[in-house]
Amino acid sequence: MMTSKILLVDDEVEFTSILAERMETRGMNVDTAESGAEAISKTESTFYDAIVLDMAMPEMDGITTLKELLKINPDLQIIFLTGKATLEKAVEAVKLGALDFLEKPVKLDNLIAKIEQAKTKKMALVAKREEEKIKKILGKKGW
Amino acid sequence: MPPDKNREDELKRSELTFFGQITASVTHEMNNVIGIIEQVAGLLEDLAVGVEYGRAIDPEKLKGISARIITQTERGTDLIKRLNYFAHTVDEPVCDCEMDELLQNLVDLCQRFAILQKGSLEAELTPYLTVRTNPFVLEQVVFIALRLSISGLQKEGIVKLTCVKIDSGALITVYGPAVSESEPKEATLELIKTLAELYNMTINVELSEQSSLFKLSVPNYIDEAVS
Repeated sequence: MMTSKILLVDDEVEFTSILAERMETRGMNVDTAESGAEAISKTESTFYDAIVLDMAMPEMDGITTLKELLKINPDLQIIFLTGKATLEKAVEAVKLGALDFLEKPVKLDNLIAKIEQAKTKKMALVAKREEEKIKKILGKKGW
Repeated sequence: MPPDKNREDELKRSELTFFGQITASVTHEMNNVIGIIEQVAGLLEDLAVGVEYGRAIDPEKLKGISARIITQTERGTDLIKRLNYFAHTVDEPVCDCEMDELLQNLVDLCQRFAILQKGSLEAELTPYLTVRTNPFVLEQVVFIALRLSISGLQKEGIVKLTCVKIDSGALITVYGPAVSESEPKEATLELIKTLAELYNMTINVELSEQSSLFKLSVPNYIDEAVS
């Protein structure tokens, strides 16, 4: 099985550091970012299987970060993990393209299950895009 | 003169908003602390599972984990102390207030609002200065001034709060960048003035395109009939 490449985004550096350590012991490859801007910069150069994003962060909040990340790659699978969970925010996030909305504190197993779901969805989307690409090429050749 | 019914409702709403904003901010931070402790506990669990499979534990690793727990419990304790102090400021309508203690606590509680703007709050407070006033209303007035100044904070910007002794009691100033355009300035200034007047405080506000300055004079005596 391929290693999952994950990005954890939270201004609570201690939180992402411990979470990353625990996820790495489970065979995941984890990057961390402490702001929306850092997450955007990392996403421009790396293709992540899932991004775990906080809502309340300095300068750029989670919703703005989500919009910017999806501009870079609309196939990105973003899971919100926040202590500031309201139904309103959750609905807004999912409407904008987030995969799901989890509340802190979170059990690692629940987060990992969600990440696996994100990875499966991402792989299906990538496969679909490849299929469309091939169809387009074949169509051009009149096959 | 006592405020009319609408004004009274507005003041009550403002009190609740103030209380809500402070408690929401502190509980959000508390949740972060709990979230970290939960992950540290998970890390210990992971290590225990490793031991069951014959893996050795490095004592240094355990010491590091213990230090992480201590740091977070200290942070949590500090947050609770601040919130508890704040909650008790509604106990008495009028009392002798240690200004440096009261204002430092408020600055600490508001620090997160400044951090969210990538800036910070600084306080310079004259020690052992006591003023007899309504602590909750005083906190509310200062909080509104701080929030207005914080709204205009840019990266690494500073909002500064000072408190010095004057003949009639204390003079508190809040100095910061220009208030953000998105803030409902007029209504808020009206409210802050009404609140101050209720307890014989006077507030002077100087807003420009570059800066904001609030000067609040707090008399050390209050007419008991007002309270």
